[in-house]
Amino acid sequence: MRHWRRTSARLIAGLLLTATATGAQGSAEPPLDSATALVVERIIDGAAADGLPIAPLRAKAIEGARRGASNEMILRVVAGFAVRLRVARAILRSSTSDPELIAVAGALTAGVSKPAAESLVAVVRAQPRPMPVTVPFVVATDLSARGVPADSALAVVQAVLRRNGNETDLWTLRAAVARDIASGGDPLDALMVRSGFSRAHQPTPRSDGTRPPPGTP
Amino acid sequence: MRSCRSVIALATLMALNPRASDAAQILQPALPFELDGGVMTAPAAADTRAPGMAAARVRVELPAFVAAMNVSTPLASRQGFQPATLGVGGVLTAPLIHAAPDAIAVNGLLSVRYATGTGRGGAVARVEVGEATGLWIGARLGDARVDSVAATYRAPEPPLGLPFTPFPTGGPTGIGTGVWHREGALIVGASMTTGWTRYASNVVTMHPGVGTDSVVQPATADTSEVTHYGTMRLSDLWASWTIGRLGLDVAGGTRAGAHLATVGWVSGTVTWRVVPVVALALTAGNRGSAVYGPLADRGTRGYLAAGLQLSSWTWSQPPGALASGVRAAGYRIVTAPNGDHLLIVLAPFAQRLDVRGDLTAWRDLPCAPLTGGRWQCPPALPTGIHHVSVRANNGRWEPLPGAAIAVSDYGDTVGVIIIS
Repeated sequence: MRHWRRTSARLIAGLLLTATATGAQGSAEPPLDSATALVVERIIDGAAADGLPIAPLRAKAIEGARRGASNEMILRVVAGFAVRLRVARAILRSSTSDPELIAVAGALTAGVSKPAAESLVAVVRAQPRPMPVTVPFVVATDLSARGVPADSALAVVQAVLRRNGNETDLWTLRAAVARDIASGGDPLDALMVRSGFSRAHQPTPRSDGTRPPPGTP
Repeated sequence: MRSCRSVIALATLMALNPRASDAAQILQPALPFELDGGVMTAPAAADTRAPGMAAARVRVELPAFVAAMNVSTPLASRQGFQPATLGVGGVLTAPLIHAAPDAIAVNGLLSVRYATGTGRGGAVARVEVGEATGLWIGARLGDARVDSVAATYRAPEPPLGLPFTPFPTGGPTGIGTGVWHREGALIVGASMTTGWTRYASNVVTMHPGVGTDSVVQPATADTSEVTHYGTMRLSDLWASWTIGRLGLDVAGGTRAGAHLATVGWVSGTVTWRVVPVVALALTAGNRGSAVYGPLADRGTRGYLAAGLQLSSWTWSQPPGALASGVRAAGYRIVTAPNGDHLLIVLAPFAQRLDVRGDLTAWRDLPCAPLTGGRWQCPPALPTGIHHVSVRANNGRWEPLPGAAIAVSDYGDTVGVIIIS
């Protein structure tokens, strides 16, 4: 498996150069220079050697090239995502799917802390009916992207699952909060109202003004 | 109400896609499907001489069509039994023109409105600057309000049965213009309309009597109806502020014109959402009624009304979700006969739709138009997590509407879909 991934990584890195060059012809986007492509190849190769999914890393590089990001930024994004994939695998520990790894890595990108992510993984895996961690993390990432503090989003997702909620409950919660926020509501208020938590149950803000996630003392 | 929502969601789900594994994704798109119901009392409903009125409304919003049913009845009228008034109406919008240079979108929409017994129409052109500011210019024929489309930009409507009327109707035919601006939780706007109203008045011609000593013919009079036209000018300012559970709406305006006394009106509504599906509201105004609006000439006394709203979802539509016609409104994942998962995007008013994401190696690929405002976007979706953005009519790239979102490492926001 690892051998296959490593071979694929080399192939993809080669394709990456071609794809960016082709993109440059078609839409005047700057291709990765050979030095950058080489570093990307090494990052992807290293990820493949560690058994990490390489498609999302490749996608990050291509996305950057298509968007006209600088080579430095592309390297930073690809390397950063490779690191987060490794952290995600450490959080998930046992055998896991690529979507789960990507979902957890995405949540880490959104600002979710590693302990909070570990806590949510534990709750998901303690569910009476087994479920992947993908949807809980994607929903938490979505809420975070809409302005809810990342760890608060994760804590509420966790609380919904503890109340025997399922994936549909999480999607429904996400949609309702999104509508409230789009209507001008405060993101955290919207999350609290829609999840059935009262703002009064929120812990007092920390001295630095940030708000700890619900459920924390 | 929860069961109602479940039934609707289930019906929608079954209609869209029988695959249970896609349930989560189909339940959460931004397809503007909304069902509301509520009751109100109006203690000062002067037009009926009743101590109060009860009203209820059911409203369904789809991307190009809004249907509503209203029923109102006086409470214990002193004039004896008065039957309830039932109203059924709908607004259908269709695209006329669209141009979208950077950061500015010009949308021309035809709005055809039907309200119990009368079919009316109007056309509205909107200029949107960025996400927050815009201008509309419109014309109407009949009683249709030129703002019927533009009004969807305004603040969330108050609970049902408490019609907050920032855009009062004018004469049967008219033109109007208005602006709006959104600043965080605050939306402010202003509008002016001029209408031409047909007046019919009776002209009486007297014929003096003619008499002799023996015969007296009495005086006679001929009555004839003379039609003439007068203008009516309306202007108003409104503001809406929503923060958390609390919503405040205030509005004020004037009406002036031929054959009419100049009047000013103000109204205000406070809304408190008790729980997600229940809201209480209190509204008051200095003239008119809570049922017919401040300029309905059904009474000059002020009114005070309290209302209760039961809502399957939140009562408000994300600004622009319905009105911004060319933008995509939602998506579905359907399974082709060969087992492929296909991305179908709903964009009824778009003339062109492009997709990009990790699926397309971030190339811009055009989607193929289907019937009913749907577009099929390439390629087939493999199992996994995908980042997707769409663009209508060469406008801005936006996250796939209705999908979960994530902030891209490169700065903007992208849609996230999961194929399991």
